[in-house]
Amino acid sequence: MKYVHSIWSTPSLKKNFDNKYDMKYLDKNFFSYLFSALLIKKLGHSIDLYCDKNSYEMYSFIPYDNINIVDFDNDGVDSKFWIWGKIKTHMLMTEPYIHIDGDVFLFRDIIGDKILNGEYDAVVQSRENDKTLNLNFNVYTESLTPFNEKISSDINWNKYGLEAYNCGVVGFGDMGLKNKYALKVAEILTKLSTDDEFKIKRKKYDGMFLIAEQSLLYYMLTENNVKPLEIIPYEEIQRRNCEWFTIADEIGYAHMWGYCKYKDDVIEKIKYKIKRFFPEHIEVLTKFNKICNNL
Amino acid sequence: MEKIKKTILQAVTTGTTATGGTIIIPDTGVTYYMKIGLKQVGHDIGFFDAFPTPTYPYYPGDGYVVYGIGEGLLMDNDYI
Repeated sequence: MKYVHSIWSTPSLKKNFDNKYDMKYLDKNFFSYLFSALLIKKLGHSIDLYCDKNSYEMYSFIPYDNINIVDFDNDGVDSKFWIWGKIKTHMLMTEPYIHIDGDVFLFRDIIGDKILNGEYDAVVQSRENDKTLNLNFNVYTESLTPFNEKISSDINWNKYGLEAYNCGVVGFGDMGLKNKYALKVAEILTKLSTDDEFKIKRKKYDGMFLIAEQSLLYYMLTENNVKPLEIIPYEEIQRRNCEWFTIADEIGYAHMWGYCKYKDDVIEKIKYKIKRFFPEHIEVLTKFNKICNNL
Repeated sequence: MEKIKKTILQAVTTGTTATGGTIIIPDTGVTYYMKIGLKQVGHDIGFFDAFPTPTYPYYPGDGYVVYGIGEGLLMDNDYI
């Protein structure tokens, strides 16, 4: 199976974030990308990187099967939408693939050949709504209310309610469906990037990734009667009264989402595991430290 | 850290504090978001780790403890 990582450095170099954690994420995320890629290769799959020129200098140390330099900066999408790096990568894919975020660790081959053999048309991490996420899901969506009209033709809030598919892992076997989805996300991001009111009121990125990328995917798959492979199945989440973190532990899946990945102990554990279980790649850590010292 | 843990544990279970103050005993059926002024927010602070709550972790603010999905697998030195 072909896996892909993507990274676009521009959002992290501008004032798109409200906090210190996400700024300059290029170097902060390096160990996580390395570990994520090494685990995919350990499972016997290939993994490619789609990155901008600025990211290439650092990320080319990671032993990807292929690295593709992409211009993410000149498509009319504002850099507040960091997900554009991911969405454009989706648009470039021409064969079945799985996009895995650089902060996702697949310890076990959960997906296997289920996309390649046609058993599923799509794969996602898990379903999100106000039951599976305790607090902030509604906060994000409610904060976007002033812009509902602008995107209501694309996202049918009233029909499905507030639902989303977490896209820590998202892949497609049906390229037609994938194209339809990626183009629609691109259309929304372009529309909002050129909207003066949005520019003024929504200077930062927060929340939009959820709506444009994740909710849209839920609505679109549902509209097309596509039941994706859910790495953490919603039925199982419901069976356990939404205490679903334990399921991830049991199946060998980890996602250091949000700013979890920037915690010191998490970064140290990632480095520890690379050194212990992939000692042949210790030199990558050395190269990375050297380039960081020269920045 | 131990002292802070015991103080908070006492406060949330009995409604009292060592300095004689009282607090309202919280509803144990809901999730509370506690902001503690410590730099080690991401480290093991005992009973708070009993079950990580699946909150949305996109920067709730400095001082909050958030957990990644499957973070236990990462913390286990022998797991690969």
